[in-house]
Amino acid sequence: MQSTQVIGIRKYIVYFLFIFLSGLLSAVDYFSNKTLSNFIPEQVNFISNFQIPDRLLQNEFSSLSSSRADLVAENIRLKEELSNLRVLYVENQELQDNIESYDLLIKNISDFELTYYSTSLILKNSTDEYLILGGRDYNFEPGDLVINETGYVVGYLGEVFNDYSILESFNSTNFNFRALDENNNIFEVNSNGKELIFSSLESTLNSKVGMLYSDITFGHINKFPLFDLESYEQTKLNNKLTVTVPIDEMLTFQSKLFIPKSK
Amino acid sequence: MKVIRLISISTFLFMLCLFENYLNTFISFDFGVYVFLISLIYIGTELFNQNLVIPIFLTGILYDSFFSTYYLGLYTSIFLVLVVLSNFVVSRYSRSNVIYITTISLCLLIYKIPIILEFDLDYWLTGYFTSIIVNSFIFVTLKRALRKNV
Repeated sequence: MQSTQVIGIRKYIVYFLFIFLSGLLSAVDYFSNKTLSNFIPEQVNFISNFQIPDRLLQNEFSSLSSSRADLVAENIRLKEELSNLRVLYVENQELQDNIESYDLLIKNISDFELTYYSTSLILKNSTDEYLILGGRDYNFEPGDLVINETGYVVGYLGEVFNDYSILESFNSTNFNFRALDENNNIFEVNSNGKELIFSSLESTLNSKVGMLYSDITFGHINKFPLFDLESYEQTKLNNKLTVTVPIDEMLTFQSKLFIPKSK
Repeated sequence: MKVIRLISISTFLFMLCLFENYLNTFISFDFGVYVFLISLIYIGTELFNQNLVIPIFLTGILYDSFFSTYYLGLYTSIFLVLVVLSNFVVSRYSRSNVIYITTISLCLLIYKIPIILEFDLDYWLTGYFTSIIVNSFIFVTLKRALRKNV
């Protein structure tokens, strides 16, 4: 009976060794300031390698049957033309969407000295962080602001790799942001996943808080609106203000995002 | 031959992991469909084998490198723990649907541990229970389908 139990535990030894190895890797990564975990993404252009080749999109394989009768050849040529037109249609739609979102952005921003790189979501990981297109290839850096087409801040870049970045959005576990109100009071913004918690860092707030903005004093590239707190209940404790705002809008594949960078 | 087998299993598992993330990005429900988690539990309960430790380890390393902001090795150890735990529960107790659902509940709790530790109960609890129902259903259906085919 006892020996059966020993055999039962023995089958896990290799697994325990590898769990120990993983723990060791985590420890090394922690002490090396994430050099280890950034090593592979720095060597590989992961996202670019996943793009569907144009060849497949254009269905060039159909040209193999060129030796058949004229009618079949004509049919194939028309099919190719049709698939080319479909590719052009998709491209045209994407460009039109981009133009529309840029138009909307232009109406909502004031600073035209910056370059606004358009980006979009790739996927959401297990900890509800979003992977977005563009990384070091566009000179993105951790901490860069990410805004939507209305010019509002939707998050910042947590980590940047060769061709993609990880966005710390409002419902991300690591979201931590500092912003200023119109009277230059500093607010710290944290998230509990369903709500954003705005807490003032100073104790001299007399009037009601309105719009919060990003600011260059916190390393942000410029002043962008973050949230209008005027319509939300504002609680005062020990002269410090706290406002809790539910997170209503989730990012989707249709969300148009922009990363402002200096020219 | 052995190396090719290891590489193909690792690639397959990583693709499943990628598919799971894509799927959960597309669906905007309160619950998640965790196909990769289900496959890990399936490995633990049905296909447990010491030769699978390297593919699971490699998948974890790739996931940690590309998709996670946590330290390298965190998700790797989570994946390995899930396989060990699911195998331990199933070999210790009888193979019934109740045990499978309990295993899925425990594994999902470990799988979502970074979110559970960071966020309040009301953020993840509803989604957690819904995910248990959905994923248990998928797991049991998958098990039955595979049993019939064999």
